[in-house]
Amino acid sequence: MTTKSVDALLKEKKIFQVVNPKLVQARPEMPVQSVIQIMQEKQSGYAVIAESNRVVGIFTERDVVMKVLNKDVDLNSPVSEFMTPDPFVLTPQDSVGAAMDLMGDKRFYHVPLVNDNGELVGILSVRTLIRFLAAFYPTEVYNLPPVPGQIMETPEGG
Amino acid sequence: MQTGLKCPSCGHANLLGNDRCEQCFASLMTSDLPRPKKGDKIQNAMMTDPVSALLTGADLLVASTTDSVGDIIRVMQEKQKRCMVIYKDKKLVGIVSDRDILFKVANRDKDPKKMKVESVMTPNPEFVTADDPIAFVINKMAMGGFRHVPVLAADGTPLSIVSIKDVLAYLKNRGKN
Repeated sequence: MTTKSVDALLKEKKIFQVVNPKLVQARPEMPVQSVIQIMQEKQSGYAVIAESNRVVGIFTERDVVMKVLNKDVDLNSPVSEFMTPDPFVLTPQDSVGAAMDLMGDKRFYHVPLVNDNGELVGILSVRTLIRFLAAFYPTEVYNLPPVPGQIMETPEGG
Repeated sequence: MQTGLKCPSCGHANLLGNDRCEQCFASLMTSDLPRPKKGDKIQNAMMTDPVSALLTGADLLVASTTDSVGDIIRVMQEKQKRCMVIYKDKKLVGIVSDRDILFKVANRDKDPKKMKVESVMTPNPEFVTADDPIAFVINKMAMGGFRHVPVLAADGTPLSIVSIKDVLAYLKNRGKN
Protein backbone atom coordinates (compact mmCIF):
# COMPACT_ATOMS: atom_id res chain seq x y z
CA MET A 1 0.00 0.00 0.00
CA THR A 2 1.49 3.31 -1.00
CA THR A 3 0.62 6.28 1.14
CA LYS A 4 0.81 9.77 -0.20
CA SER A 5 1.80 12.67 1.94
CA VAL A 6 -1.02 14.80 3.26
CA ASP A 7 0.41 17.77 1.50
CA ALA A 8 0.09 15.96 -1.83
CA LEU A 9 -3.45 14.85 -1.03
CA LEU A 10 -4.50 18.36 -0.07
CA LYS A 11 -3.07 19.61 -3.32
CA GLU A 12 -4.86 16.92 -5.27
CA LYS A 13 -8.26 17.50 -3.73
CA LYS A 14 -10.08 20.23 -5.61
CA ILE A 15 -12.45 22.74 -4.13
CA PHE A 16 -15.38 21.68 -6.33
CA GLN A 17 -15.21 18.25 -4.72
CA VAL A 18 -15.89 19.57 -1.25
CA VAL A 19 -17.90 22.74 -1.73
CA ASN A 20 -21.37 23.31 -0.36
CA PRO A 21 -23.87 24.22 -3.12
CA LYS A 22 -25.49 27.00 -1.12
CA LEU A 23 -24.75 30.49 -2.40
CA VAL A 24 -26.26 33.75 -1.21
CA GLN A 25 -25.85 36.75 -3.46
CA ALA A 26 -27.12 40.28 -3.83
CA ARG A 27 -26.66 43.21 -6.20
CA PRO A 28 -24.52 46.23 -5.28
CA GLU A 29 -27.36 48.74 -5.55
CA MET A 30 -29.58 46.91 -3.08
CA PRO A 31 -30.18 48.74 0.21
CA VAL A 32 -28.06 47.35 3.01
CA GLN A 33 -31.20 46.68 5.00
CA SER A 34 -32.59 44.21 2.49
CA VAL A 35 -29.25 42.45 2.10
CA ILE A 36 -29.15 41.90 5.86
CA GLN A 37 -32.69 40.60 5.65
CA ILE A 38 -31.71 38.12 2.94
CA MET A 39 -28.77 36.93 5.02
CA GLN A 40 -31.00 36.45 8.04
CA GLU A 41 -33.60 34.54 6.04
CA LYS A 42 -31.03 32.27 4.46
CA GLN A 43 -29.13 31.88 7.73
CA SER A 44 -25.96 32.92 6.05
CA GLY A 45 -23.12 34.99 7.42
CA TYR A 46 -22.19 36.48 4.06
CA ALA A 47 -23.66 37.73 0.80
CA VAL A 48 -21.59 37.82 -2.35
CA ILE A 49 -22.24 41.12 -4.10
CA ALA A 50 -22.31 40.48 -7.81
CA GLU A 51 -23.30 42.41 -10.89
CA SER A 52 -24.28 40.36 -13.94
CA ASN A 53 -22.41 37.39 -12.47
CA ARG A 54 -19.19 39.31 -11.80
CA VAL A 55 -18.06 39.48 -8.20
CA VAL A 56 -17.73 43.10 -7.13
CA GLY A 57 -17.57 42.60 -3.40
CA ILE A 58 -18.53 40.56 -0.38
CA PHE A 59 -20.67 41.70 2.52
CA THR A 60 -20.32 39.66 5.70
CA GLU A 61 -21.40 39.61 9.30
CA ARG A 62 -18.12 41.32 10.07
CA ASP A 63 -19.03 44.28 7.87
CA VAL A 64 -22.39 44.45 9.60
CA VAL A 65 -20.77 44.66 13.02
CA MET A 66 -17.92 46.93 12.02
CA LYS A 67 -19.61 49.36 9.66
CA VAL A 68 -23.37 49.29 10.06
CA LEU A 69 -24.34 48.86 13.69
CA ASN A 70 -23.88 51.66 16.23
CA LYS A 71 -22.81 53.94 13.41
CA ASP A 72 -25.86 55.99 12.68
CA VAL A 73 -25.95 54.90 9.05
CA ASP A 74 -28.86 55.12 6.65
CA LEU A 75 -30.07 51.56 6.22
CA ASN A 76 -31.42 52.45 2.81
CA SER A 77 -28.05 53.29 1.35
CA PRO A 78 -26.71 50.76 -1.12
CA VAL A 79 -24.78 47.78 0.17
CA SER A 80 -21.85 48.72 -2.05
CA GLU A 81 -20.94 51.41 0.47
CA PHE A 82 -20.40 48.84 3.19
CA MET A 83 -19.15 45.78 1.36
CA THR A 84 -15.53 44.71 1.12
CA PRO A 85 -14.78 45.50 -2.53
CA ASP A 86 -12.86 43.19 -4.86
CA PRO A 87 -12.42 40.26 -2.47
CA PHE A 88 -9.93 37.45 -2.99
CA VAL A 89 -11.43 34.74 -5.17
CA LEU A 90 -10.56 31.14 -5.92
CA THR A 91 -11.63 28.87 -8.75
CA PRO A 92 -13.35 25.53 -8.21
CA GLN A 93 -10.28 23.89 -9.74
CA ASP A 94 -7.97 25.29 -7.07
CA SER A 95 -6.84 22.80 -4.47
CA VAL A 96 -8.13 22.51 -0.94
CA GLY A 97 -4.55 23.06 0.21
CA ALA A 98 -4.45 26.43 -1.54
CA ALA A 99 -7.71 27.42 0.13
CA MET A 100 -6.36 26.43 3.54
CA ASP A 101 -3.27 28.51 2.87
CA LEU A 102 -5.33 31.54 1.92
CA MET A 103 -7.75 31.30 4.84
CA GLY A 104 -4.93 30.65 7.30
CA ASP A 105 -3.03 33.70 6.11
CA LYS A 106 -5.84 36.18 5.87
CA ARG A 107 -8.88 36.75 7.99
CA PHE A 108 -11.34 35.43 5.45
CA TYR A 109 -14.10 33.11 6.43
CA HIS A 110 -15.71 33.11 2.99
CA VAL A 111 -14.05 33.13 -0.41
CA PRO A 112 -16.15 33.48 -3.58
CA LEU A 113 -15.44 30.98 -6.34
CA VAL A 114 -15.28 32.13 -9.95
CA ASN A 115 -14.84 30.11 -13.13
CA ASP A 116 -12.38 30.75 -15.93
CA ASN A 117 -14.59 33.45 -17.39
CA GLY A 118 -14.71 35.32 -14.12
CA GLU A 119 -18.31 34.35 -13.42
CA LEU A 120 -19.47 33.71 -9.87
CA VAL A 121 -20.13 29.99 -9.38
CA GLY A 122 -20.02 29.38 -5.66
CA ILE A 123 -18.58 30.17 -2.27
CA LEU A 124 -16.14 28.33 -0.06
CA SER A 125 -16.66 28.78 3.65
CA VAL A 126 -14.05 28.09 6.26
CA ARG A 127 -16.40 25.67 7.94
CA THR A 128 -16.51 23.55 4.82
CA LEU A 129 -12.74 23.32 5.09
CA ILE A 130 -12.66 22.31 8.72
CA ARG A 131 -15.33 19.67 8.06
CA PHE A 132 -13.25 18.38 5.20
CA LEU A 133 -10.24 18.19 7.47
CA ALA A 134 -12.26 16.37 10.12
CA ALA A 135 -13.53 13.87 7.57
CA PHE A 136 -9.98 13.47 6.32
CA TYR A 137 -8.86 12.29 9.74
CA PRO A 138 -11.99 10.62 11.10
CA THR A 139 -10.36 8.39 13.71
CA GLU A 140 -8.18 11.14 15.02
CA VAL A 141 -10.81 13.80 15.24
CA TYR A 142 -13.94 11.87 16.10
CA ASN A 143 -12.44 8.99 18.00
CA LEU A 144 -9.76 10.39 20.22
CA PRO A 145 -9.47 9.07 23.80
CA PRO A 146 -10.69 11.68 26.30
CA VAL A 147 -7.25 11.89 27.89
CA PRO A 148 -4.46 12.05 25.33
CA GLY A 149 -1.90 9.33 25.78
CA GLN A 150 -4.26 7.46 28.04
CA ILE A 151 -3.37 3.81 28.69
CA MET A 152 -6.05 1.64 30.22
CA GLU A 153 -4.57 -0.13 33.23
CA THR A 154 -7.32 -2.68 33.64
CA PRO A 155 -9.72 -4.19 31.13
CA GLU A 156 -12.99 -2.33 30.75
CA GLY A 157 -15.27 -3.01 33.70
CA GLY A 158 -12.43 -4.67 35.59
CA MET B 1 -1.71 -11.55 5.68
CA GLN B 2 -1.88 -10.42 9.25
CA THR B 3 -4.50 -12.02 11.43
CA GLY B 4 -5.41 -11.13 14.95
CA LEU B 5 -3.51 -8.73 17.08
CA LYS B 6 0.22 -8.50 16.63
CA CYS B 7 2.10 -8.15 19.89
CA PRO B 8 4.19 -4.97 19.81
CA SER B 9 7.09 -6.57 21.71
CA CYS B 10 7.39 -10.16 20.44
CA GLY B 11 5.28 -10.15 17.30
CA HIS B 12 3.08 -13.09 18.32
CA ALA B 13 -0.31 -13.08 16.60
CA ASN B 14 -2.87 -13.01 19.39
CA LEU B 15 -6.63 -13.41 19.22
CA LEU B 16 -8.40 -10.13 18.69
CA GLY B 17 -9.53 -8.66 21.96
CA ASN B 18 -6.79 -10.18 24.11
CA ASP B 19 -5.56 -7.90 26.85
CA ARG B 20 -2.15 -9.53 27.17
CA CYS B 21 0.10 -11.30 24.71
CA GLU B 22 -0.24 -15.06 25.08
CA GLN B 23 3.44 -15.58 24.48
CA CYS B 24 5.26 -12.83 26.34
CA PHE B 25 2.47 -11.31 28.51
CA ALA B 26 3.13 -7.79 27.26
CA SER B 27 0.09 -5.55 27.61
CA LEU B 28 -1.97 -5.13 24.44
CA MET B 29 -4.20 -2.46 25.92
CA THR B 30 -2.69 0.37 23.93
CA SER B 31 -2.79 -1.26 20.53
CA ASP B 32 -6.27 0.05 19.68
CA LEU B 33 -5.61 3.68 20.47
CA PRO B 34 -5.35 5.83 17.39
CA ARG B 35 -1.78 6.83 16.75
CA PRO B 36 -0.33 9.36 14.38
CA LYS B 37 1.40 7.94 11.33
CA LYS B 38 5.06 8.64 10.93
CA GLY B 39 5.72 11.41 8.46
CA ASP B 40 2.18 12.77 8.50
CA LYS B 41 2.97 16.10 10.10
CA ILE B 42 -0.56 17.45 10.09
CA GLN B 43 -1.85 14.31 11.75
CA ASN B 44 0.93 14.40 14.29
CA ALA B 45 0.23 18.02 15.10
CA MET B 46 -3.48 17.34 15.51
CA MET B 47 -3.04 14.44 17.88
CA THR B 48 -0.04 15.44 19.93
CA ASP B 49 0.11 19.22 20.07
CA PRO B 50 -1.98 20.84 22.78
CA VAL B 51 -4.48 23.60 22.13
CA SER B 52 -2.15 25.92 24.05
CA ALA B 53 0.19 25.86 21.04
CA LEU B 54 -2.45 27.83 19.13
CA LEU B 55 -2.86 30.57 21.67
CA THR B 56 -1.47 33.94 20.95
CA GLY B 57 -2.37 35.49 24.28
CA ALA B 58 -3.89 38.91 23.98
CA ASP B 59 -7.04 38.08 22.12
CA LEU B 60 -9.71 37.41 24.67
CA LEU B 61 -12.61 39.70 25.39
CA VAL B 62 -14.80 38.91 28.35
CA ALA B 63 -18.16 40.51 29.07
CA SER B 64 -20.89 39.93 31.60
CA THR B 65 -24.49 38.92 30.92
CA THR B 66 -25.82 42.29 31.99
CA ASP B 67 -23.76 44.35 29.56
CA SER B 68 -25.72 45.88 26.73
CA VAL B 69 -25.41 44.66 23.19
CA GLY B 70 -24.48 48.22 22.20
CA ASP B 71 -21.41 48.04 24.45
CA ILE B 72 -20.44 44.67 23.01
CA ILE B 73 -20.63 46.01 19.48
CA ARG B 74 -18.58 49.05 20.42
CA VAL B 75 -15.85 46.91 22.01
CA MET B 76 -15.78 44.58 19.02
CA GLN B 77 -15.40 47.57 16.72
CA GLU B 78 -12.62 49.10 18.79
CA LYS B 79 -10.67 45.90 19.28
CA GLN B 80 -11.40 44.57 15.79
CA LYS B 81 -12.68 41.29 17.21
CA ARG B 82 -15.33 38.92 15.96
CA CYS B 83 -16.17 37.16 19.15
CA MET B 84 -16.51 37.60 22.94
CA VAL B 85 -17.06 35.18 25.78
CA ILE B 86 -19.70 35.94 28.39
CA TYR B 87 -19.16 35.21 32.05
CA LYS B 88 -21.50 35.23 34.99
CA ASP B 89 -20.37 34.49 38.53
CA LYS B 90 -17.00 33.42 37.18
CA LYS B 91 -18.64 30.77 35.01
CA LEU B 92 -18.66 30.64 31.24
CA VAL B 93 -22.30 31.03 30.23
CA GLY B 94 -22.21 32.16 26.64
CA ILE B 95 -20.42 33.39 23.59
CA VAL B 96 -21.33 36.22 21.24
CA SER B 97 -19.97 36.33 17.73
CA ASP B 98 -20.62 38.68 14.86
CA ARG B 99 -22.91 35.98 13.51
CA ASP B 100 -25.17 36.22 16.56
CA ILE B 101 -25.26 39.97 16.16
CA LEU B 102 -26.14 39.73 12.47
CA PHE B 103 -28.98 37.29 13.10
CA LYS B 104 -30.40 38.69 16.31
CA VAL B 105 -29.62 42.40 16.41
CA ALA B 106 -29.30 43.85 12.91
CA ASN B 107 -32.52 45.15 11.38
CA ARG B 108 -34.46 44.85 14.61
CA ASP B 109 -36.48 47.78 15.84
CA LYS B 110 -34.99 47.50 19.30
CA ASP B 111 -32.09 49.73 20.22
CA PRO B 112 -28.98 47.57 20.80
CA LYS B 113 -28.08 49.75 23.76
CA LYS B 114 -31.22 48.56 25.49
CA MET B 115 -30.72 44.88 24.69
CA LYS B 116 -28.97 42.67 27.19
CA VAL B 117 -26.20 40.36 26.05
CA GLU B 118 -28.13 37.45 27.52
CA SER B 119 -30.77 37.75 24.82
CA VAL B 120 -28.38 37.42 21.89
CA MET B 121 -25.56 35.19 23.13
CA THR B 122 -25.25 31.54 22.27
CA PRO B 123 -25.67 29.95 25.70
CA ASN B 124 -23.52 27.14 27.12
CA PRO B 125 -20.91 27.07 24.39
CA GLU B 126 -18.63 24.14 23.80
CA PHE B 127 -15.12 24.75 25.08
CA VAL B 128 -11.76 23.05 25.32
CA THR B 129 -8.98 23.21 27.86
CA ALA B 130 -5.44 24.30 27.08
CA ASP B 131 -4.05 20.76 27.42
CA ASP B 132 -6.48 19.11 25.02
CA PRO B 133 -5.05 17.99 21.70
CA ILE B 134 -5.83 20.14 18.69
CA ALA B 135 -7.99 17.33 17.32
CA PHE B 136 -10.50 18.14 20.08
CA VAL B 137 -10.96 21.66 18.92
CA ILE B 138 -11.34 20.53 15.30
CA ASN B 139 -13.95 18.06 16.48
CA LYS B 140 -15.99 20.81 18.15
CA MET B 141 -15.68 23.06 15.13
CA ALA B 142 -16.64 20.39 12.62
CA MET B 143 -19.50 18.91 14.63
CA GLY B 144 -21.05 22.11 15.87
CA GLY B 145 -20.14 24.44 13.03
CA PHE B 146 -18.42 26.82 15.43
CA ARG B 147 -15.77 29.13 14.12
CA HIS B 148 -14.64 30.16 17.58
CA VAL B 149 -14.15 27.91 20.58
CA PRO B 150 -13.20 29.32 24.00
CA VAL B 151 -10.18 27.84 25.74
CA LEU B 152 -10.36 27.54 29.51
CA ALA B 153 -7.77 26.78 32.15
CA ALA B 154 -8.40 23.75 34.34
CA ASP B 155 -10.19 25.90 36.94
CA GLY B 156 -12.53 27.47 34.41
CA THR B 157 -10.85 30.83 33.99
CA PRO B 158 -10.90 32.03 30.41
CA LEU B 159 -7.58 31.86 28.61
CA SER B 160 -8.35 32.58 25.01
CA ILE B 161 -10.45 31.89 21.97
CA VAL B 162 -9.32 29.62 19.17
CA SER B 163 -10.66 30.37 15.72
CA ILE B 164 -10.73 28.14 12.67
CA LYS B 165 -8.22 30.49 11.13
CA ASP B 166 -5.76 29.81 13.99
CA VAL B 167 -6.16 26.08 13.45
CA LEU B 168 -5.70 26.22 9.69
CA ALA B 169 -2.70 28.51 9.94
CA TYR B 170 -1.07 26.32 12.56
CA LEU B 171 -1.62 23.05 10.71
CA LYS B 172 -0.46 24.60 7.50
CA ASN B 173 2.82 25.70 9.09
CA ARG B 174 3.32 22.40 10.83
CA GLY B 175 2.69 20.56 7.58
CA LYS B 176 5.41 22.48 5.81
CA ASN B 177 8.43 22.27 8.09
